[in-house]
Amino acid sequence: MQTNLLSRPTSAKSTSMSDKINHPQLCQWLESVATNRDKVAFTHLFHFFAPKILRIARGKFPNEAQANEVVQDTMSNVWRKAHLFNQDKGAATTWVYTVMRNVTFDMLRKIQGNKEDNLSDDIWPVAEKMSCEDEVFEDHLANENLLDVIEALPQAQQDVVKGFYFREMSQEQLAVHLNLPLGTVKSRLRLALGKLKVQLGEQHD
Amino acid sequence: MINHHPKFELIQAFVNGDLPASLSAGVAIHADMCPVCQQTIAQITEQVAEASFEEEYLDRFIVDDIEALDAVAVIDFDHMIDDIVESSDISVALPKVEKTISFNDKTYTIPTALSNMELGKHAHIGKLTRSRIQLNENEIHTSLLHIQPGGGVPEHTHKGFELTVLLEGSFHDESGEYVKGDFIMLDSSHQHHPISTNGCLCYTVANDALHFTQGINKLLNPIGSFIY
Amino acid sequence: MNSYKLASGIVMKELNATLPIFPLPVFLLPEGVTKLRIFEPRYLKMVSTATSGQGFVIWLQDIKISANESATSMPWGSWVEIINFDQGDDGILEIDVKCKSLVVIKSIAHDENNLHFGDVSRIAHWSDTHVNITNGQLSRSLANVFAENDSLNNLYPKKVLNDSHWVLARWLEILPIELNVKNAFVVSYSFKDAKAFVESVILE
Repeated sequence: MQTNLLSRPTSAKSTSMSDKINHPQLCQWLESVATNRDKVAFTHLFHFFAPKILRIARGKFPNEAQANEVVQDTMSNVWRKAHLFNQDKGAATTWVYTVMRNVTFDMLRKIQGNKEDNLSDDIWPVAEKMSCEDEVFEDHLANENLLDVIEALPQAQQDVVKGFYFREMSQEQLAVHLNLPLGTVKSRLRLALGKLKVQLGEQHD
Repeated sequence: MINHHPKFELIQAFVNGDLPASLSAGVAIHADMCPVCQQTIAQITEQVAEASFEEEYLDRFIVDDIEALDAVAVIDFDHMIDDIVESSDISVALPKVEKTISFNDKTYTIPTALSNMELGKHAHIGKLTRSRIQLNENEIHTSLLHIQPGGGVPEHTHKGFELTVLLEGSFHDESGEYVKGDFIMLDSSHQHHPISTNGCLCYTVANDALHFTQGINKLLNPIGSFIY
Repeated sequence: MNSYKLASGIVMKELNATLPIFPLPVFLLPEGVTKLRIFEPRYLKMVSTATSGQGFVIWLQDIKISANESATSMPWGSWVEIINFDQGDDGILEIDVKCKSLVVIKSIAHDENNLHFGDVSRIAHWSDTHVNITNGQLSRSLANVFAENDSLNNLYPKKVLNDSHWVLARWLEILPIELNVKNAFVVSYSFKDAKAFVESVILE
């Protein structure tokens, strides 16, 4: 992108923020989103942060759609979690940065590690700033979905597979998987094998 | 008193979100117990955040916002805003659920940074018990390692790095005594033989890219790989 | 070579090698991963050789594959590399192996430890080519199997669910059918046959 210093004063909109970030203004918008679900305030926040987030995300994700997803997810977390922002604990930019970094981290992990486990909010809590010694990690956000999954992972299941490694399904497992009676699964298998034999006969006889 | 801290570059990478989950969690666990590093992290985060949202501004202050948005975005920002504010959902902060883990009848609180990580089954050798943390980071292995009083890790080296964060108790090696909260990062130039007189629980991360190229001895005596 | 019954589409490739042979009742196609427990000293030795060399070959052996059947059909194996190892609760070495390609076993010799070595050549099979076609229901159903089975899921950090060959190969590995039938999916049946078979079991 080409920069032209001379044109700067004519651009009213982008200079309204002046050289320095207008922190009190950002804080006020965030508070307004938190307490009033203020859509106008959110639109202001969006116009301030979204293009910058997009730029940063493009540096981390070559894929345009993924960079867009970072913007979408970050800003939608800002909307949904604004009430967790505490301006006594730090600047709005720091808080939004944390939200963005966490979204990016979880997405990169999903893409690279093939694991969608959203660990970032445990590592970098969004609800509290790390500088408040006594309360660190006190009130972190938990991802409801993930919690469900973790809770639902029964120890019993792990015990059963202990010493036995999944190599093949049993007919019973297949029946459960297909949500069919065992008898139906058995006859399906028989039929499918029968068809194979016919084909083999046709090919080789 | 905590004596061993992550070096500055590591804290920077942590703040940037550039470290793998295993090391990020290691730094977070340490910072949870170390006010000094907490302070450093808070300061760096503030600076990086400021720079992130300012730099972009400096980079493109010639054009007005709407035009800039149109130019950079293939997505429709207005549509995205509408989409987001349409939802009235609020993410509630759930009360912290403390998770615990037991080793040899002793129960420990799992650090918050690990609370949503999947722990593997316990495996034992002598006075050592290990539970792998399933992070799917290929050659990086992450574990909780418990040492019973009087236990130790046989002398070993690693290709790559080996991080130990002491969660409870203490151990010592040739270089001295380590206590709860210590962040001990070793590389392949270190060889050590830690012993825990009173027992301890550690969070360990090791990358062992050359796992299988070290010949028969290593493989038939996979103790080092078992532990880290 | 003429005595082997080769399904249409199977072609010999250049690569020849001498590799350790591990006779096991395990059906594994390219990209397939399985966990093995190794306790016999000779196989421990084989594993240690394999880690510094080119891997080893799993030769599908099962009482169901009768002697005369294996005499007429092609003796083939899954050429695997070790991608991870660990120690089980009981101290037994566990290795994760991943199939690189299928090979035909041309001759077998034994060493003093009664370890088998074979002269092998790579063969091409539909399962080692990639076709990025989402075959909707089979993929989704397979994704569910992974989601429901942790130990299987953990073997595949990278699931190529948009590759219809990959999806089909994994289905053949995990479906509860006799090994002699699975064997036939390498020596006799084509991709089309395999696809029709799996679909008629899973979909319908």
